Amino acid sequence: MIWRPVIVRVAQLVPTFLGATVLTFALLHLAPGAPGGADLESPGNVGVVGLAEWQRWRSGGLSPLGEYLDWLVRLMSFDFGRSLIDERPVRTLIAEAAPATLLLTGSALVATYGLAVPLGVLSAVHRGRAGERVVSVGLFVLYSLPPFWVALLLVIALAGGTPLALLPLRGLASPGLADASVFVRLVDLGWHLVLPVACLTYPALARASRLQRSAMLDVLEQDYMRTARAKGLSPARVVWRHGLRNALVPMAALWSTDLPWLVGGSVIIERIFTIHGLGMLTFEAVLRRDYPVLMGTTALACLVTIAAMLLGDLLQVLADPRQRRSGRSA
Amino acid sequence: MISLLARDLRVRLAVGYFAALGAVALGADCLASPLPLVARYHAELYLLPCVWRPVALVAHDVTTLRASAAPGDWLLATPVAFGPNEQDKGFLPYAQPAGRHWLGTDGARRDVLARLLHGSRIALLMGFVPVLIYVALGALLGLCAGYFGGVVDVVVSRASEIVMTLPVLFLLLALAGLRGQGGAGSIVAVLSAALWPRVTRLVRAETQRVRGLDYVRAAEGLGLSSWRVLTRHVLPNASGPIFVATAFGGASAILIESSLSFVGFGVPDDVATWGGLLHGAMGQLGAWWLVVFPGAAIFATVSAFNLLGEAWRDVLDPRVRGQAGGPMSAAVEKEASAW
Repeated sequence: MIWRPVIVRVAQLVPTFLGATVLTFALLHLAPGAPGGADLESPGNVGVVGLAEWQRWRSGGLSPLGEYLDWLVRLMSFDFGRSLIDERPVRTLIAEAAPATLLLTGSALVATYGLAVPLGVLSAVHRGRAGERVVSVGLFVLYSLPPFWVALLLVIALAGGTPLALLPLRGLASPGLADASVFVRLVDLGWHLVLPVACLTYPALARASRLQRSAMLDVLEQDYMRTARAKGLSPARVVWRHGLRNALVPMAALWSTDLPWLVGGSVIIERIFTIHGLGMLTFEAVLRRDYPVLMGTTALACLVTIAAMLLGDLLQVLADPRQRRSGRSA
Repeated sequence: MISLLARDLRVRLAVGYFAALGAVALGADCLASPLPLVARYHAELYLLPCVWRPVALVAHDVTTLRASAAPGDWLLATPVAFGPNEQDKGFLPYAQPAGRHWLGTDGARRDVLARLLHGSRIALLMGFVPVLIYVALGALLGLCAGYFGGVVDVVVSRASEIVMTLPVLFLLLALAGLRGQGGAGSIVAVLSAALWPRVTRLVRAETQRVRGLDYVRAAEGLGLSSWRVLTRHVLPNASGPIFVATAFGGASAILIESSLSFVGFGVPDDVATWGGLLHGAMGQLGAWWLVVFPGAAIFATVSAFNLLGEAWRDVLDPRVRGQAGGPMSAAVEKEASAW
């Protein structure tokens, strides 16, 4: 019965979701201050629609519980209400901001695992050699470097006016390219992605490649690896075909923990490189006390995290029966 | 175990660094202050006025003391003759490192070196206090959940899942931004409240592993109380991940606090922090000294915590002694570094 644990898990995640949203809802409702930074009764720089939305958000004639239930029902259709400042639906704002963030974090995730998997495999195969030690020290240093610091240093080093000013530092597209061909715009986009993606990739590299290394070390000791070598297969084929396939199973669990990061992982980097994604949206919502937007992005992050938890457990269930019998000491 | 740790070069480096940082934090007033270390002023001798701030001198700084000195007066200034909040009216904002200001000034004409030295206090506070609180809380809950099982386990597991679902940085941003400048205490509280599930999950898994072992059953068979079994028999054998998570937790707490200060939602501006100095650079990117020095300080401190964590993990995990990476490290790292 492979489905039983999955059903149990889904049932467990329902109270988790309710708890998390109740908590966020309560925190935001207890927060003092009106949008625009003014006091409760007369919110500053808010238009007519925003004011109506604010009054609905603040009291709306419902009890806090009724308000929460109302919000929850509307959530089912992804209706988060309207922004207090912008007066457009929160759903639209999120839909506009999400592509930039997903592009950024998605590329960073691909880059991380694209580099970490071969690095981890190679450092397992060459364990103890000088080259492997240099790589692991290098990864340690990268892991300890604060990303916002590196991003700022890069911005300073590559800022306009210096001979190093090769890469763009703001946004995701150059101005005045709206009429250019698709190819030119794609190249321009890739060019803009280099720095932010690099800053998002390098801190995660150490963690992922180390996990890949220890998974590969486990696999290298297995009997089937000896069999494969004894059959006379080339060492490269043994490692990359027979070894890597099995060493990717524990990595799957790590991938699932990275999914929430796709949505919420780039707040600081978006801020430094002026990219209008979900992180920037949240950041500006905090600055302007735009409660519905804040509630919307937080709920989105909660939903993605819960989906990732479920996916991770599902992968575990699919991978476990065989893994448990292979006698991993942990 | 202690002797193994003490022989490790990484541990020595980290402990040495923290000792030095602690000394700077404790003695920050004697390193950077507008008032001198020792002074004779108007025929009266003042010892360490930089610390005690006597009423007669508090309105002065080294320059005005020298200017208004009576014959026979003398003073011994602190190495950096500026306080962290002192605005040097005779100097430009964003002044390059030179002359009086060895590491330059920030946008409010404050001395960067003085703010760096005083910022070590917040760094140490954030690296140790919230981590100790959330590790203690998380370990206690994890022990109970793993040992008692049943309803306790269900409640603790759901609660930790709920907290883990909330994105830490979103939460901190929202709270800091909405509550206004809350001071260091509220950041410590939020960090502690948001990060304990990392420890709970690790300790719960370790406890579940240990509780079925013979020596725990023997202790139960002897009729010992649950509390005694937990603290004397289960905890010591489930403590490995706790220590490792503590060290890595220090690193992530400092990173979180400094990114928060960096985006301008940290402690109030009159409290010097390294992240706050970086925040000051955002408006004036030409001021490289506001980026390089505080960032290097954050990097060094984060590295020290990570070195400690790595060494601790290697010592505790016999399978990989001398070799980084192992089953436990994988689990710990997954929890500890996912900020």
